[in-house]
Amino acid sequence: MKIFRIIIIILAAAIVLVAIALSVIQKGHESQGTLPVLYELPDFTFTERQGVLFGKNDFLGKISIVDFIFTNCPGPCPFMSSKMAELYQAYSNTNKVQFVSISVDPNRDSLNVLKKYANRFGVNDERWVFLRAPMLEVINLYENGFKLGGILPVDHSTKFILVDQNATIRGYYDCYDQISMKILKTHIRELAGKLSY
Amino acid sequence: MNTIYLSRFKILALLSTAVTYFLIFVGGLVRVSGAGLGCPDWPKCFGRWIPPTNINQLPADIDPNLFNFTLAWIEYINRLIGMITGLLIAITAIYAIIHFRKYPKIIIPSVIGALLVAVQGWQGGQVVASALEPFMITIHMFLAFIIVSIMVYVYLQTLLLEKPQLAVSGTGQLKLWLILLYLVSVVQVVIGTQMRSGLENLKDNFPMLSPVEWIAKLGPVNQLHTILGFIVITLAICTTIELMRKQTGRIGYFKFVIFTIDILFALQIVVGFILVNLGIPAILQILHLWFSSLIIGGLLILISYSKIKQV
Repeated sequence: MKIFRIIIIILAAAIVLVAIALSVIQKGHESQGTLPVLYELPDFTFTERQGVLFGKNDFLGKISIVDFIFTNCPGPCPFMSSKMAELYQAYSNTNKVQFVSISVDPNRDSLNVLKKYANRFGVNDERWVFLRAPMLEVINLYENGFKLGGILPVDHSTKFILVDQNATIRGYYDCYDQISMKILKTHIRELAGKLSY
Repeated sequence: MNTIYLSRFKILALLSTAVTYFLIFVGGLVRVSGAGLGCPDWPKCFGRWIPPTNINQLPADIDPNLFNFTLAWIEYINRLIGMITGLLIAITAIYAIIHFRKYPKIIIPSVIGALLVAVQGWQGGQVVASALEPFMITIHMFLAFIIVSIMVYVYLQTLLLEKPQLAVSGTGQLKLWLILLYLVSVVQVVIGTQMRSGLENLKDNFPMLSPVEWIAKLGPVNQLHTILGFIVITLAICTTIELMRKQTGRIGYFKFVIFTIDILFALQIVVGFILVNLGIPAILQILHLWFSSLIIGGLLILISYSKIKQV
């Protein structure tokens, strides 16, 4: 009967192990499900590269990834935009996620220049928008809306900002950091209510 | 051979094996709970030997956005258990060096196991540094399988030293069946890791699809894994029949091991079916991987103990 005793002990241990594992998995997923609710965006109206107006209301109902760039920027911006382009490709099968690049150098970045810049990164639809507005409005949105620092345009932030379906900021991600980019993807899944796998 | 040393070493080897199996389970748990990057640095966690318990303890150069208390501790516990396992295997090797120098079948694998465990610890850091590159995860898992196999082997050789009659004499065919089954199982594990890394890549490239949609995009590797699964279980049944028909002597435990393996194979088919059709539930991912590590270890027991009868 020794063998039966062994089997029962093994089964009991297995059940305990599975129960612990289930609770750890649940805790892990729950912990990723508690993204902080940071700041609601203020009202603003900028112009998109195609000439249409784009403001706070266009954030509603969509998950948005926002960055601040300018087309004459030597180093960081092309890198930021290439990272953004990777995300833009990864989310090409959904309209739920949009990408928003805001120019911090509106004097040089006309709508036409923004169009060319967009083409450079293979943007062929409205899932990735490029916005401009007079410099003061940009500074206001940058500092008071997105709570970012640095003298514009040259010293702008290289963070990607995650904005949820209620136009509220949920997180800042360093586009130079692979791990941070991975976490951004997890957070997007979470906002989309798909954090099961 | 001093029997006290032998029985102590036997306990040490068994303990190392059991803890390594437990660690494989925990490692799977880290992956499916999303805690793989719980500590973004290595070997420290957020620059500390004990992870921060609140956000104020984070070093200035680390992005607070990376910090998730739960995930950090899940990963940290994995590292702690890894440390304990590493130490146990190292002690086993030292004990073997001191008392079992004359037994190459014990001392060589013990020392290799200890070296590999050190490599594994370092490679775990590389997995984190690569931001969970699927191929790096695969290597991490394979090393774990090799280490656990080595520990199983060390334990078996110790047992055999104590009770040589444990070896089962039989026809050469049984051993051939077992080796074939083992090799096909290893191939099946390789294909399984390909499926897993394929899914990781799909998750990265199509983050908004559902698990069922990812499975559909996996391609032929999925069908291959299923077909080979049925081939493996058929082979296992043939091997069992071979054992039941032709072997004589004290083979009670031998039957027990092979029946357990048969049951595990059957469970693997069921678990695999659920994984593919019901959205890859996390807990079943761990079990699927863990069962395969148990099967590999079990087959190793049978192969080591089946002696070809001298005619």
